[in-house]
Amino acid sequence: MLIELREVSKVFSTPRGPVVALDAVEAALPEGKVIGLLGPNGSGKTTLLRILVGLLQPDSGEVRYAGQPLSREVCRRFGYMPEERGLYPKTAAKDQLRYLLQLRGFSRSDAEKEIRYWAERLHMPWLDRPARALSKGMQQKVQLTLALAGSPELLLLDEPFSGLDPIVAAEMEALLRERVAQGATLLLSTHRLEQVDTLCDYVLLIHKGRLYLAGETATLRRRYWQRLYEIETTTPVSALPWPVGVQVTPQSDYRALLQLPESLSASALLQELLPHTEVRFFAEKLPTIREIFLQIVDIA
Amino acid sequence: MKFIGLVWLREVRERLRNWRFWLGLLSLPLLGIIVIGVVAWMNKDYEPLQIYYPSSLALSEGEQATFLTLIPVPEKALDSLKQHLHQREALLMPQTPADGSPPTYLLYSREPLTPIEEGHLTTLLQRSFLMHGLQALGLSPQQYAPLLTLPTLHTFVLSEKGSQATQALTLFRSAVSILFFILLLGSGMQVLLSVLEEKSNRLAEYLLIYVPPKALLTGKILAALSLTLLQAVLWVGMGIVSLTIVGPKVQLLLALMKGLPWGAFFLYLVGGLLLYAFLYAIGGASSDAVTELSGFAQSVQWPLTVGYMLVVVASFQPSHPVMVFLSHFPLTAPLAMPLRIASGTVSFWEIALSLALLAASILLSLRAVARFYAFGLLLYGQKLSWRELWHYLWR
Repeated sequence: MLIELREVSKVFSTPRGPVVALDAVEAALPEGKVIGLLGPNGSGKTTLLRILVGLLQPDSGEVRYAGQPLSREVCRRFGYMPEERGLYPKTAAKDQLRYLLQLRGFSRSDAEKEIRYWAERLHMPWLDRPARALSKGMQQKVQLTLALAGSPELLLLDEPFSGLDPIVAAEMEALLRERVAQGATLLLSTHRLEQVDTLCDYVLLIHKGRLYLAGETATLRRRYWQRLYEIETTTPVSALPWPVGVQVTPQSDYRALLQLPESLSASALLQELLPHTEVRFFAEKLPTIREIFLQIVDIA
Repeated sequence: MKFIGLVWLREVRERLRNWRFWLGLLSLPLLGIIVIGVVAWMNKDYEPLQIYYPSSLALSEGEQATFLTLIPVPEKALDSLKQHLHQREALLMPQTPADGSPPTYLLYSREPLTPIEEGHLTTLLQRSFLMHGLQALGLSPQQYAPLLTLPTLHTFVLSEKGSQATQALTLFRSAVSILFFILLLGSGMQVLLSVLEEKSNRLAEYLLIYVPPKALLTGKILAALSLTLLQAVLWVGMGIVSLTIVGPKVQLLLALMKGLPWGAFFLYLVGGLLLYAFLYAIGGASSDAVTELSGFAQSVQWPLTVGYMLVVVASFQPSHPVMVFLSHFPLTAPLAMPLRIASGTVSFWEIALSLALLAASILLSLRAVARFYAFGLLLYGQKLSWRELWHYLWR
């Protein structure tokens, strides 16, 4: 495992009293995967990301990276894109990139090389313009360049798709997948739960500072599967002799969602139905991460 | 050191590229040139005031001064003249009491007299009254002429360095107090705006990952100090050059400046710049944007502004308890103590105590900044109240 979170807690002292941002979070995050960090607003996602990049220190517990305690020198190797992000409005994007990359540790010449590479890769011929003359999508590309420059082994992105139109979001998603395919690990927080199923290999669900869920996406979907199936038949579903215990939710005249009892297998169901109808489509309906998320948050 | 250098370079470059910086730098000298130009132009077009008076008054006939020309007229012409006075003309009418007390003069004109014109006229009238009195005593013009010459007064302030002409000293003190005030306020505002730039543009979080907070703040403060000292050198240089062109007093001023403890002045300037830089850094980190300044950020300028006004008023009595207090209170010491040092009325121990208090304040504010700066930068969207800021400073 690349990242280990061992009973990590963080409490903020405010004039209105202590606020528990993270409460004994324990998880082990795999290497080379896209890890989704999910949770409602105020759940602790940003606090966790800030701890992982070394901006904040946990009040208790420990974070280990590649088996070693997290340090500023290690964090400097990460690529980070904060949720609240911006640029100097009057400075040319290119000059800002050079300055910020030098602060990251690049020499001037290496920074120039990175800028040239990413300008071509992300189609950014407008880098000489000041930031205030750029659209939000253009600015996001500049910020993404800052995170991706130097091909960091770990990318931490806080709400990377917020405010982006679908085209730019798709471009960004493709780029991130490409980086992961090249060996990077990506940890991103997102509210776009519909993306998580397709994008994320691993998810963490945090709510009110506590970790409620952690695991591979496919495994979680299987774990929370409630024996639902989708079926399409040539006979109206309302006319079919459903076995006892099967809950049928029609979606149209010929399609329905079925929930099977534990005692009835899918093959046994089909054996009973086939004498009465032709089955055009039959498949398990696994829950989406969104559905799992809503279920858990509701319970919590 | 690398980070400090990068931040310093960026801050200085951005300021030097900003036209507002150059406007601020040149505004005071430009203002001075404009004022001097306007005064010179007004002087060039200046016409002495022509004052008509009844010939029976027997003032010095046709007396011409730089500012006044006296013209006697017959009594019967006075009423007509009063109705037809033009600009730069006036009518003088005496009212002589029967009891022999000094006469009262009424002056009618289309526009008010300047204080200088009024002063000259008063002196003329006093001399005229004295002359008539001496004539009545039987003195001849040769006898009373020397008595009409008024004495002049030159003032000097004694100190261990010798005596210094009060006029030159006053000029120097005014220049120093204005210079220090503008530099302290300007430098502090530079730090405030620099901190806010990164907070309001949401860059702070990114920067803090890669740059230690102390290095980030040090680079900013060093940039503000560098530019402020550049400004000070340019202004002082321009001031000396202008005075050289304008008149002979510069020799006196330069002689005065040569004997001053520049080391102490430099310490107070740098100490003041550091103290206000740290306070303004806290102000910037506790605010959200230039339009959303925290109560603390808005309040930092008050001790400087009020202190400056008090110093200007109290500096004429350098040993007054108010001035002594202001020269030891850390927030006003950078303004008040250099003036007291320039007037030569302060002992070494007072300077040492004042510097010690200033140093202690700098260390205290440095500690506050160290505790709060990085934390405050991450508090997006919040403008902290005094209570909240106090809580976070000493949590």
